[in-house]
Amino acid sequence: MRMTSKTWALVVFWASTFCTALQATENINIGAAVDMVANKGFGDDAPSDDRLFIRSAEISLFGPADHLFDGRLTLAAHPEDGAAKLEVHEAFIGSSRLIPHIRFKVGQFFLGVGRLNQLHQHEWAFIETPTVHKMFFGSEGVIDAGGEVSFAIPTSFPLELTLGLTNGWTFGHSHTEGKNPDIPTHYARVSSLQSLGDPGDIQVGTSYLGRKSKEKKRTHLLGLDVTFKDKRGTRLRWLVETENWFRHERTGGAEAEMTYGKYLYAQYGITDEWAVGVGTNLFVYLNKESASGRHLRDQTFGAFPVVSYIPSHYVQLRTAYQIEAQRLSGEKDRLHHMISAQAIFTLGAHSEHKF
Amino acid sequence: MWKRRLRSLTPHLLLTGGLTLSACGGGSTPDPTADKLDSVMIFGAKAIPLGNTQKLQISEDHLSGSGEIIFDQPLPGMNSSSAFLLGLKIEEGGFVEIHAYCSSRLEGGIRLRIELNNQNWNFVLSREEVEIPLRNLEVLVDPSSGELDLGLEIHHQETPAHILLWNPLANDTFILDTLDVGSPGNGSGRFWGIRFHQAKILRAERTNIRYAHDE
Repeated sequence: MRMTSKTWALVVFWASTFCTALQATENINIGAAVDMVANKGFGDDAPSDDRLFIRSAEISLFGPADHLFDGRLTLAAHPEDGAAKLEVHEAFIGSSRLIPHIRFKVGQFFLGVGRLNQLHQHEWAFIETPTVHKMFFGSEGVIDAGGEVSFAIPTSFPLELTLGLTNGWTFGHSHTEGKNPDIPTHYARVSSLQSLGDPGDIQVGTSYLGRKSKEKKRTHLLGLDVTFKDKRGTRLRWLVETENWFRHERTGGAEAEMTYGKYLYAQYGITDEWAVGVGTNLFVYLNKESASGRHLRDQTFGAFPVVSYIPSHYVQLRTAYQIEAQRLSGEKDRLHHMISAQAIFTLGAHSEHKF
Repeated sequence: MWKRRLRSLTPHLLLTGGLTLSACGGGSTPDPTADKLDSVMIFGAKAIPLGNTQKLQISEDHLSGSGEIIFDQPLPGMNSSSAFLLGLKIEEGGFVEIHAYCSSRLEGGIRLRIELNNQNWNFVLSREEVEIPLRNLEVLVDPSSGELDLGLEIHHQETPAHILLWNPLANDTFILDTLDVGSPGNGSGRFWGIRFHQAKILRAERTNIRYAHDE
């Protein structure tokens, strides 16, 4: 469904009215989240929008469908080609009560790999999408329809295994329904959430994702994510998160492309409401060569300091600066800067925060 | 650090430029009896002629005759967007093919073939056995000079690749979108090049994409 930009206000108004009207409905949680961003770029081809825009406006309904199953429906509108495109982000049914120690869901959802891909963009601690995430998962994340199951591995320390199998007709951004792949998207994630006592809690996860498209493109993604949180009462004193991803991609018998990227973000909570953080970005082509066989060291790297003001669970205000340098063979070296501001507000219920 | 890296690259760039100049030195037309040429500079970029070069004529600002070249510098990556500006003139019975996201041997990529047969222009977009005829693109041909100018844009990070054509002589007016006619899919490499027969290539260069959209 496509809307002109003039209908954004109506969408938000309708969402708030809808939420209020249905909030009293038994067992159903209804919430809306609006993510507004303004940015301005400077330098060589800065990837900025140079305006204020509604990055996403989403409405979620979630809760128990009956005594065994839970359901969730999330509709989100994003700007695309100058208009708002409304799409189903999440629509799944699942349960943690049907089979002891096992959680599962079936439907459409963000794939359970890495860290950012499992969070809605308005739940991220910074504004702009890290380069490696944008290159491997798109600006927001990879959504697909299929099934996912998680269970605790019986060990002396907390260890959870998540397995997923989804259609894989498309992966990332696509304007079509795609084609039936030779091997559908499949993934696994092993993660452990440990309390370190006084310093805080740490979660470490490793992920694998694979797929082979109809066009014989075989993709392997391997990732490591680490998240550390030191929360004192309502104050998030320290947040450190990083993801490292390696991708190996080959079509038919052609030469493979190997790429690696990472981001690291560290944030310090000055008070309950105010936090400052800084992040770094790196993306590298590992085996790129010219036609004459010369090794090319194409890469992108940068940094992004962020200041956040979060007066409540329902409002987040941020501003950030980003500097990024890019070297791509055959193109001029680029250095660009961008300043961004973000306002997020949620109305009604919002689901429990993941670690 | 970034500037230091650039400075460290400077001698390398100078060396590369020197080698390129020496490869180009001695005139603009290669030895017609040679089977294979070293790299040459054409349209401001380093390129490597492939296969039989006996009918290939190279100067700094055009290619003519028949032959094939691959540009030395690859595209940003297999999951990237790229755009190309082409200017060409085809003799009766000739053709020009631009290959993108192909191997360094011009194989496995997305191919746009333009041919002139019996005064009819034919345009075909293809990849391996998939062929998509394109219609109503004769508007790109200047009737007085017979020259054709074209902008080709490929969003190869999408599956299938999203391909657009635009007219660089009419304010980059958009004239074709594979969302309307179908996409041939995705290439398997990260190079680009040209194969041509009885034609003159007046322009072949990479340019900024015109139709970027949010993902």
